[in-house]
Amino acid sequence: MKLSRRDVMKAQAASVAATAAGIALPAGAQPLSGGKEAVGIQWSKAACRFCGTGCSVMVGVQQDRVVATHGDTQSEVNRGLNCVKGYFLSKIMYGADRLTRPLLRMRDGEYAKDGDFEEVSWERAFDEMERQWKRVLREKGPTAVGMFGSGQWTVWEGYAAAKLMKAGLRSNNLDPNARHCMASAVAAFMRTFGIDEPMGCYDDFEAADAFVLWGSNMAEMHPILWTRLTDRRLSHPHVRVAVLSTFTHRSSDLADIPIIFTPGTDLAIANYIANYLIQNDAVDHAFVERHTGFWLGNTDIGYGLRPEHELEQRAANAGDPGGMQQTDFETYKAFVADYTRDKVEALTGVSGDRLDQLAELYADPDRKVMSLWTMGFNQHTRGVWANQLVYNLHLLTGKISEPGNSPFSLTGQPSACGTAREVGTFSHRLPADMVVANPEHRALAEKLWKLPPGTIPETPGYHAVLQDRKLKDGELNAYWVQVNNNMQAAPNILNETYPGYRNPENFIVVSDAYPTVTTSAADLILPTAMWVEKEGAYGNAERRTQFWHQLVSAPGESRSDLWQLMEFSKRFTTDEVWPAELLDANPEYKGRTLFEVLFANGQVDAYGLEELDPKHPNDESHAFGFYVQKGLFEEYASFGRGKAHDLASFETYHEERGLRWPVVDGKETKWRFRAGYDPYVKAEEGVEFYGHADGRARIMALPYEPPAESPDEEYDLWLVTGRVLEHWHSGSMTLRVPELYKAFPGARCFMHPLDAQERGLRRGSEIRIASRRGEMVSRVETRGRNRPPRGVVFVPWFDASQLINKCTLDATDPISKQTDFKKCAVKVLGV
Amino acid sequence: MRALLTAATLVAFVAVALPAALAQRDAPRLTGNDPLPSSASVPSLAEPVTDRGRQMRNYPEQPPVIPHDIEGYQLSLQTNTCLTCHRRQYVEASGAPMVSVTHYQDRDGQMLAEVSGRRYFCTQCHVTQSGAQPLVENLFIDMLEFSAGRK
Amino acid sequence: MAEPSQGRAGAAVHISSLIVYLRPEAAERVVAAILALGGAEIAAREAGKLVVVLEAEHEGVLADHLTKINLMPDVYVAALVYHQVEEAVAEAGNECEERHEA
Repeated sequence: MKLSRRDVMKAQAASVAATAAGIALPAGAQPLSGGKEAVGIQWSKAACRFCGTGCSVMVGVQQDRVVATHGDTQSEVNRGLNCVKGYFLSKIMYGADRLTRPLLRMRDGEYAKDGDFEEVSWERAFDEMERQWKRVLREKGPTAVGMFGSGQWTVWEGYAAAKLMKAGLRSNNLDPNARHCMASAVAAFMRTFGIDEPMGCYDDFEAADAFVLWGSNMAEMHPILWTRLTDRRLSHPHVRVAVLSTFTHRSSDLADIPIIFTPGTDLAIANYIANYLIQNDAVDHAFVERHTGFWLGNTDIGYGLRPEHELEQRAANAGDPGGMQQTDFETYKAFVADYTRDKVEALTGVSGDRLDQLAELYADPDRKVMSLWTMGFNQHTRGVWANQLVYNLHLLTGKISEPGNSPFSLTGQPSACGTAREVGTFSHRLPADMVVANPEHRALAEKLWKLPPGTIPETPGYHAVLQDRKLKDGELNAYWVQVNNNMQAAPNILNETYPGYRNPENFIVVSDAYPTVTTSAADLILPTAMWVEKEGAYGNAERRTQFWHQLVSAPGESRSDLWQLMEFSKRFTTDEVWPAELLDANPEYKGRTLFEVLFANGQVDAYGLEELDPKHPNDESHAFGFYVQKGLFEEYASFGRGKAHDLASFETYHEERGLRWPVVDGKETKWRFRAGYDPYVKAEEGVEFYGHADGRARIMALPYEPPAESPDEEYDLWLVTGRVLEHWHSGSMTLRVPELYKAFPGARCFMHPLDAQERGLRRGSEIRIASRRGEMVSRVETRGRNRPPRGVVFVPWFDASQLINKCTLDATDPISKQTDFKKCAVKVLGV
Repeated sequence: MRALLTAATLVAFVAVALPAALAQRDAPRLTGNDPLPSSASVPSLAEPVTDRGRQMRNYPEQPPVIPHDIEGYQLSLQTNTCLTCHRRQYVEASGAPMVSVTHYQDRDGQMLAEVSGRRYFCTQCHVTQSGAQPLVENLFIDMLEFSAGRK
Repeated sequence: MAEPSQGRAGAAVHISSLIVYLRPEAAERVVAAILALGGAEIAAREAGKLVVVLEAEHEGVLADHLTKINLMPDVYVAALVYHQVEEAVAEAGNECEERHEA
């Protein structure tokens, strides 16, 4: 609605006079300012829909519509602030092209892989899905069905998916897009500490004396945490900020120590600092001797490419990338001694003085240091190592697990921690850091799920990149994608993703709120409720679990992912999907639907509709007849209680602005592993890294190894991909908000002006960016927020009309299986 | 007031005349090109609209968009170009609106003599607007329509 | 903000609101008479009271209207409560301006 200025003035005039006269104005003439007169707005809290920071927002609803949002002043995380995306949350659900009915590819009234999308009923949609799933299960068994989920699933959606896939359909081919995002962080936590997620929390921002950003651009990717860091730096002049990156960006604007290094050489910088600490006697020997152990990791571990690739053939330890053996301090000291100033200067392109300034931040015993990183480390063919090499620095100096001393792995997605990691949606995982390969872990999960022993398969399933390869190879044939846009997000899509979706042997289902590149490549599209159209829970990067109520109805026939998962489970009986020997040994499970054994199991359905908050709708609970979210949450919480993953009661989270687990006796935990903060550490221990049986964290000797692909004569530029502040991931929500669209309407290729000039290009020139895998058309940008050095280009991936992942390489960290989206070789040509 | 509204009127006129032409030039940024392998031509870099005049917010707590170009503005540890016009003590000379009072509050809500460090990087909340025309209409309904009883 | 271009010379708009106290039985007749003045709207009414919003290009017109209303039969008094002048308020379609802080 556009009010003319004249209307506003008249309303104001009328209002003043009516007030003076003591007359109530008719509604249409009431004062138009906000505040108390804006009666009828119902305010509720919710977690922001976007990044892993986990800001709390207040959501205003009128007449079943979100009309306003703002930062929640009661939230510890953001204290009333939002970034520009968060401030426009009100509009993300209202793009005119919301999907409101299931769409199936049809010809002549029947499903056809090459047919056109036609609207069908949910009944018809699930009929086709059921037919396809059963066909594939009959022909090839459970390893040929799979699911790709998300760190943007709510906690109970991820949990329900894990149960349906791992126990119900008995397939571990469940992976979240968090594989592209946080897998390296997870593997590093498990290797170094034996338990996932940061020991510190955001309170460290107000306590640290130095901040080191390792390849992270927090100013754009974690803007609210950046406000806390900026506030600390500007209000306390002694504070120092170091920003390490492969190109200059907005975070560099605050840097006291800006460092631009050659892509991939961050590993050498970290080892140089470790060497510096040892050479300059900055090691806290008492801490190291009491709380750590030294380990030597396998090297030459390959690049996670297809096994027949020559780089894999050549790698000595491609078969055992995660292998390690115990060693001692002297061996470690000799190992890092190899990283001399001269050698590292030459390798990284960073001056020795700068390196020493950086190293001194860690060496100075009076300086509390917070290290921060996200995709620069995680999307790295040696991402696990990179994470671990920074833990080494904090462990060598004892700067860990106390306010301000904090190696902090930032999270990309809003619930990569809460859902993807904690709930166990990775292809090798179960809830509470357990893994499918461990028989005790499987047995515990089966017991808590009230399922017979042997239900959960022991072999890890296909991870994200492997799912795409198996789809292409025709070994994965029935596939369900929820809450992500992997046709845009996955690496090397032309060769490894698109062919699998369109492989005639495969049936691809995509659940989404909006049309995307991925829905376009699907066979069946399921219209999906989003954000506050359902009751939800997210877990952020500092272990904070946050809830929200359903606040508005979803449009048309769209339904939440949770409803879709549970409703689809009614389509299968145990006899159809479980082996005869399992049922013969446990006859009480015979002939029951998966819905009955997974969700109507006396636990998930234990809470009745009378427990719902009468002020809020809850579509799923009314559909199934019990408080679905509470039942799933309480069953899930039973995995972590008493095991250092304790969660508070369900109701508590609807009241609080989130709590950081473990929550023991109603108290959250800000710093783990240290007595006085962590209830799992006894006072006499002081510090205990209890994730490992020996109570010690592991300092690991790991070398610099080169990336999978580096620029050469023909493909002469490094390609780095990433995000921009205004858009979330593939842009399916934020590009539909006009203000965000206009702020950054399309992708562009940021490059050095001299690199452009050398190719006969200038700002605005139309170009082709080509790699060995594919190419895309874009425009040159030589100004603005990102300023790459010579030899590097940066291209954001939010724009579906410029699919930069046609160019990227599907090389992964061989340990974490996470793709390196930050390093491959391209050339740039004028059009 | 006269100056500001006159400029706004002009821009409003231009915006009415052009969207059809602009929309045709833009690319399908939401669902990609079809079929996937093709590479369509890319529209020219969209430049920030400047001197548009202030725009009505979608709701009172929305940060206003920046109605002028900020290319080349330095926002760094040393300098904040935005505040050289929008800081309290400079608005009289610059004629720019003062940053709102919330920007003078620290994390605990206490008032400060200067703009808070947490609000220092303006572009985290305030963005410029290019002339690009959104591909998809947004059906957000302003709360005024509800309170005015029009819906 | 740079120097704006010189646009169409817009006329000023004066908007004011009044409270009119009157004999309740005569309300209909008074309302009709006020509306007949042109540029007047009844924003609210209650027994014995009206809130009237007047709009005109010149202040003199408003003063005229105010005098006329005061002189109408059955009107006890018409009191000016609020008066705002805006130059160059453009046609409908010109978006609402923020009036307070930015």
